[in-house]
Amino acid sequence: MSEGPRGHLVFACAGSLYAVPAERASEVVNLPALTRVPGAAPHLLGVFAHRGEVLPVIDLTRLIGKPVEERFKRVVVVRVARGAMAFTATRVIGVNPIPGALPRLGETGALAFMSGPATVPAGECAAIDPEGLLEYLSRGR
Amino acid sequence: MPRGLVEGVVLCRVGEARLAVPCGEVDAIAPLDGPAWDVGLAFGSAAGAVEGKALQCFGQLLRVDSVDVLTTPELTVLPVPSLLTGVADGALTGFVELLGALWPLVSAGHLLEHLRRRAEA
Repeated sequence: MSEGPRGHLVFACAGSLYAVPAERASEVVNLPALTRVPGAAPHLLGVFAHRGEVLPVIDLTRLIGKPVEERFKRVVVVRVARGAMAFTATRVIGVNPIPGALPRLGETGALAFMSGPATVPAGECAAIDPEGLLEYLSRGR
Repeated sequence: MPRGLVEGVVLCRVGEARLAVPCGEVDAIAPLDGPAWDVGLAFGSAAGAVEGKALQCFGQLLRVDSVDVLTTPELTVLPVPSLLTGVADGALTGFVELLGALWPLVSAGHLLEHLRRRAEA
């Protein structure tokens, strides 16, 4: 994998900044009413139907253990080879270059699939590895 | 994963949550009158509700708040997103769009197993 800067879509979620590779961010949509899923982990807020497919919505704050009671208005839809998911967002910042070689934010859990901090004009953000995170979450984590 | 079809579903409401069970997996529906596996447990609710409806499936009872039976011959089943594969011990088999909403379609047998495991945890 190249370690040069890659364009990332940067977005805010409850006071923290996150980034996903721009080529993986397929769209940003207003958060519709969600359908709860039986047996789902707390960070999975629910699902919604979008363009004929069912998208799971991941609350990033709960995922990394920072429960914040905030009403999210939008989601960032991320698509990788294995499937799609949507991340909660309070604000979309824009596309910024982020270096490829950043340290992981954790050794275990979801933070093992985030790296940074990366400095962007809006502040410091965590760069999400969507392929790795989807694989991790698919294992029921 | 390709879309499938299901013939008729029992639409169940549990608190603010909802789910659909294929009609073919439900032997009877009756007012709750005795012990039953509370489907609310699968949505994180506390057990102990004593009112509602009971679905008899595979010789056991599932408790829900209310039910509606929809006998539409063929309903399109939207596939489970890869991220949710295996959730609820494999009970989730897809989603159906009905009455302007999305309903999780579950296998009653796997749901019973999931509730049993949650109760033991």
